Amino acid sequence: MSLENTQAQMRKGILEYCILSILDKKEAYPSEILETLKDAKLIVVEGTLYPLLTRLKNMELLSYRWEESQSGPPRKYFSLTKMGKAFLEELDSTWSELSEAVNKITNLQPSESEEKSEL
Amino acid sequence: MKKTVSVNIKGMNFLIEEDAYELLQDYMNRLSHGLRNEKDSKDIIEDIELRIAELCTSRLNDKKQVIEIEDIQIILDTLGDPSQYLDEDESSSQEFKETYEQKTYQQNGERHLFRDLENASIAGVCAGIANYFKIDTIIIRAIFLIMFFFGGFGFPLYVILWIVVPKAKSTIEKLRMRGKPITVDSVKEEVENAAKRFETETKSFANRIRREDHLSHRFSSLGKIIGAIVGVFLIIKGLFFLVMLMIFGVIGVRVIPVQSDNGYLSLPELAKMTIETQSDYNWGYAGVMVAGFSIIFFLLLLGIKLVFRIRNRWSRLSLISLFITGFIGSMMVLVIGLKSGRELSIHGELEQEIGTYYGEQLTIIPHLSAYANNNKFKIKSDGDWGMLGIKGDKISEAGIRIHYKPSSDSLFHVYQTVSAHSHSHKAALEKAKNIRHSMSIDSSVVNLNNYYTYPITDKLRIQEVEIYIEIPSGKTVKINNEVIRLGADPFNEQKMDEHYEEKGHLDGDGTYSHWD
Repeated sequence: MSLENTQAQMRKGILEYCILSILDKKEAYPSEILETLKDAKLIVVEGTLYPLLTRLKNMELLSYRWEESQSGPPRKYFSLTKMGKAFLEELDSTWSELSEAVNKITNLQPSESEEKSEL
Repeated sequence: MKKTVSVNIKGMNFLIEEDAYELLQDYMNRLSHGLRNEKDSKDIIEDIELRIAELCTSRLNDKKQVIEIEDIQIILDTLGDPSQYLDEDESSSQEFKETYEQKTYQQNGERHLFRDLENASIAGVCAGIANYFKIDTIIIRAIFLIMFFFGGFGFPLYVILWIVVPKAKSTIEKLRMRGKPITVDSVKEEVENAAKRFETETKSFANRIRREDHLSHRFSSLGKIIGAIVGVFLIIKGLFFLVMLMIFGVIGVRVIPVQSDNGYLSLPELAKMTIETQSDYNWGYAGVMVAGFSIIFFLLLLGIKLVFRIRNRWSRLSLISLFITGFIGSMMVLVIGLKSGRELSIHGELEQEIGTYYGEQLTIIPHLSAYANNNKFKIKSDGDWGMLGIKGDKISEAGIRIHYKPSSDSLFHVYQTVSAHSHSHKAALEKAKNIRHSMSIDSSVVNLNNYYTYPITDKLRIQEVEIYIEIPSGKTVKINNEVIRLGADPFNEQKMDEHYEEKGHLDGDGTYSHWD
C-alpha cells in the first residue's frame, strides 16, 4: 500500500465527520463545503464530496433546501437534521477519545514514560 | 476556427466548443457508468452537474463568452475522474474495479468497434472493422465480397453489422474506434485532423504508416485469437442455421420427394400430416420458429461479441433473453414431440384371409400404382421413391412385405394384414381398418397392388400392409420370374427345415426382392 493510499484511507474516515461539523455551524451549499475542506487540505478531488453528501442525506442526517443564485445555477443548502445533530455529538465524543488515544500512542516515548514515573 | 454548441446544464445556458463538449459528455458517460449500480446515482449526478455549471460560470466573464476545451479540462481535473472518487463507496467497489479497468484500457488505446463513415463506401462496416483490426479496409472489403459470392453470407452479415454496430459520431468515439487515448491533446488533434481530411488525401497514406506501427501489437494475446476464431465459427454456424430455417421452415421450399398434386412437400406440410391436431401443429410450428430464431440470433450475437470484443449491458441482456426464448421454444417443440410420439406408441393389426388355392404353383402378379394406366405400354417401373404419394384426401404408400410360411394342409392360404399405430389399441385398429389395399385371388393367380391408401385425416401412423402366404410342402410361389420354394435349398441346411419362414418385399417401383 502506497503512502497516498494510506493518506486517502485516513482522510476518508474523518471526511463524513468533518462535513457534519461544517454543517453544524451553519447551513452551506456544496461549493462552500468544498472550499472549507480544500482549505483544510482534507480533499483532493471535488468529486469525492458528492457521493458522501448523498449518503448522509439518505441516512437522514442531512436535509437540504433550494435557493436561487444570481451568479450561477440554483444552490442546494444542506443542514443537519435532529438525527444529524445527535449523530454528530456521538462522533464528537468518539473523535476526542480517538485523538487522545492517538496522541498518547504517538507521543509515548520510552524515556518520557520513565521520567513521568519518576515525578 | 472552431464550432461551438449551446448546452443547457441545470437550467444554465452555455456556449461551448464542440470538442470541449465531447470531452464533457464523455466524462458524464463514465460517471453514470460508474454509478450504474447506485440507486442514488441521479442525486449524485445532479450535484456534480450543478457544480460543473457553477465552475463554468466562474470561468466566463465579459470578454470570454465561450467555454473552451482547456476550461473543461481544468474543471474535470478539479472534480477528479470518477475512478478517483467512486471507489470510496464500498458497495460499488467491484463495479469500480471494472470501470477502472475499462478506463485504463481506454488510456492504453483499447479499440472499440464503430462504423467508420468517413472512410465508408456503404455504411462504413468494412472500414470500421479494418480500424478495429488495424488492417487496410480493402482486405475486409475483399473478404466480404468473397463471402457474398461464395456462400452468400456476406450480405446478411453486413446488414446485421450495420444494425448492431453504432456509427462513430463524436470525436471521442472516433478516437476510440482508432484505439487512441482520450486526452485534451488527442481530442484536439482529432478535430483538427477531421478538418484536414477534407483538404488532403495524403492522410490515408499517413494512416497506413501509423497502422503498421501498431501491427505487431494486434494479436498480442492468444485469448483474443481464440475468441475471434470461435466468434467467426459461431457467426458462420448461425448464418448456416438461418439459411436452413429460412429455406425449410419459413419459406417452406418443397424438398421432400412426395408425389402430390402440388409436387413435392415442404417440411411444415409433412409435419402437418404427422401431428394429430391443428392446434398441436400451430404450437409446434411456433416453438420451432421461436427456438430457431432465438438460437440463430444467439449464435450470431455471441459470435459478433467474441470477434469484436463488445461488452455492454444491451448485448448481455439480449443474449440472456435469447437463451430464455430459445429454451421456451425448445420446450414447446419437446412437448409437441412427446405428444406426437405417443401417437405412434401402440400397434394395431388386422388380418383377413383372401383365399385358398390347390395346385403346383401360385403366381403373384404385382399391379403398380399407375396414376394413368391408359396406354398400350405396360408400366415396368413407376419410379416411386419409396416415399408417400398424395392424391386428393388420400395418402398412398408403396411397398408390400410378403411372408412365406409352410402350410399346415395341402392348400395355399393367402392372408392380408393391415396395421397402424396410435395412442390406444382401439384407435390403432380404427386407423388400420381405414387402409385400402386391393388384392384378389383368381384360381392360380394373386393380383396384388404394390401400393395402398388411407385417408389423409388419419395422419402418418406407420400404416403397413403385409401379405402372408402359406405354401404346402413341395409347392412353389412365382413372383416376377422368381420362384420361391420353402425348405428346398440343398446348400442351406437351415432351409431344409420344413418350418422355415421366408420373406420378401414388393418395392414401390414394382421390383421384388427376396430376403433369404
